[in-house]
Amino acid sequence: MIPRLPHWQSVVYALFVILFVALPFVQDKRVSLYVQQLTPLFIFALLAIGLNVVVGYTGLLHLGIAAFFGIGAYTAGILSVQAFPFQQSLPVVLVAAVLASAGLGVATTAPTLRLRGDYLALVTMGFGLIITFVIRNLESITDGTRGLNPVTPTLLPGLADPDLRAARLAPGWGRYWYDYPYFYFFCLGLLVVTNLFLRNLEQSRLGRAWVALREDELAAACMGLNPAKLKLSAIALGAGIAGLAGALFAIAQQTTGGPDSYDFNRSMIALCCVILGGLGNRPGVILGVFILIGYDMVLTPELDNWIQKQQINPGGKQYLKVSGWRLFIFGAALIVMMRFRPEGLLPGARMKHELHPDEDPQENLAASGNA
Amino acid sequence: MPPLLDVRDLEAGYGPINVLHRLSLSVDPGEIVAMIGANGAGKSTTLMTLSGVVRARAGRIVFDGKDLVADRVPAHMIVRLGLAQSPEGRKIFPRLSVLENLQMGAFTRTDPDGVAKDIEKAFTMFPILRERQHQAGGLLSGGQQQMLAIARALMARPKLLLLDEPSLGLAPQIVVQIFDVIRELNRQGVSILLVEQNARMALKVAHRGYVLETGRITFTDKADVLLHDPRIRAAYLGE
Repeated sequence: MIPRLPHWQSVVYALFVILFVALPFVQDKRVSLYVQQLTPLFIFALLAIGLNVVVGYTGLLHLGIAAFFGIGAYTAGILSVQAFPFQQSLPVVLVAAVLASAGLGVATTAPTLRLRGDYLALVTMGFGLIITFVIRNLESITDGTRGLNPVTPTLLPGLADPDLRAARLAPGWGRYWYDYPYFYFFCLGLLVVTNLFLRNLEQSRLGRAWVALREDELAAACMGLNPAKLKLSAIALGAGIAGLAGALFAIAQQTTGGPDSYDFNRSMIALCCVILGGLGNRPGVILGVFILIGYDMVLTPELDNWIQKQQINPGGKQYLKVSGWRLFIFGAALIVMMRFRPEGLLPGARMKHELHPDEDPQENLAASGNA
Repeated sequence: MPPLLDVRDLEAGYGPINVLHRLSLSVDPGEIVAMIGANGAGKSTTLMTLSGVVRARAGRIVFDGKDLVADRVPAHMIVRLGLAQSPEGRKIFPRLSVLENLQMGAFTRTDPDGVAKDIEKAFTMFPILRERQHQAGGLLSGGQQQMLAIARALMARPKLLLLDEPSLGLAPQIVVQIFDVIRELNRQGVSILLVEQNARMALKVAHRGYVLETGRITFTDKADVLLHDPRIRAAYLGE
């Protein structure tokens, strides 16, 4: 008798997936330029739903998720660049990235298990800051601010990457598996699989135990739940997903980039996506990513271009560029959200009840569903 | 018959402060034992120590033949041994549905058929919970939440149920209902250690009672003897 996903929601999901699968086949160069920018959105969506396991399900405020994103990226880098003797294939790289991040997540959280709330948040923030400095200063391994490149692992072990130019079906299609649109499909596929996995997990014993822990740790302990183990498993899973996203990020760019890609800003923006979309509610979190990061990566440069073309800003003044207002708009959006819709754009049924208990009290959890 | 729970010289506390001083008590199988005492006497600390949430510093807690202190049994294993607690202030999971709350109570169990049967049993005992099984626990009234908290603790199939202030903050009429439930559970074979500020109700339903004062047991006797003891009447029954 577990509340199931309402039918229409599955349909909306399926429609979106079909749309994303169809987009690369559009025979138009302009469209393909936009579609290429969706790959990083899928990757950031993975990062955000990983963070959501920790913050949304289990209620541990983690401010350093980008550290695991970075560990994943650099694990992928170290295992695939020419400078190291490993040169592993994609499956090995991804598994190693997930395990390294999850392992580090457990190792850094285990000593802080007794901390709660603000104190845990501070420790995780410190951890996030430390990682960027380690990446910057451990030059013999990370190559400092230059980053590792090219991050292009082979698709399968012991096999040269096939030349896929013959398979071109639309403009913009690349040559290797890590080019658009093959990697686009790969990231989309992983996002869908991770989503389905988490959806089942939410309905499972473990998923409910996490929520119970968030609700009341003392009562949960009285029920025979092991809070330490539950917190560690949530961190392991969240960090593992973030590490997977990091590895994909490095492969998508074919470089780990510098440490700045994994700094505190990244953690904060991932957290903003989770909160804007709806803490604890996966579809909402993904929507949050598409709105916030989509705005940042796609809409902002587009508006800047438009302003330049209209000759509104001949002097190139920073305050007349949309990109100059980027962080201001993030902050303003969050303030407006907190004032008018603190539960997020697409809140889970549980959260909605908590923040608006007086609205339709007869509404039951089964009918509104816990997608 | 050996007691189900045998506590000897238990010491426990928080930080530098000891709350329990050489506390000893026992619960026999099939018994309802009431522990009464003023605010801050250490009633909840006693239950939390029995549940393993607060660590015992000295003494023995022998439950069902196993020494929980010497064997350092962690909290989540104690429930598996058959000692479940319904904590003070109910502490249901407000955002989980009633049904999910019950399922959380059975977290330690691995027999889904038995769990389903026990949920059915809980619904028979508390029909209101069946009616509202898909609603969030936080939407229930205080009395209903208390019933849910008791039903949830029962889902672990405990041999001994620890009830911490089940009457706290409830209307007198509801309190009567809750105590009826406690009596009925005991009739079905569950041993109960009951902590209460409502001493009169607790002693009426219990077989034996303990009086706790600043972490020490000062009186213990059959419940009806305590109920008529002039000192108890003066101190705890307001006469």
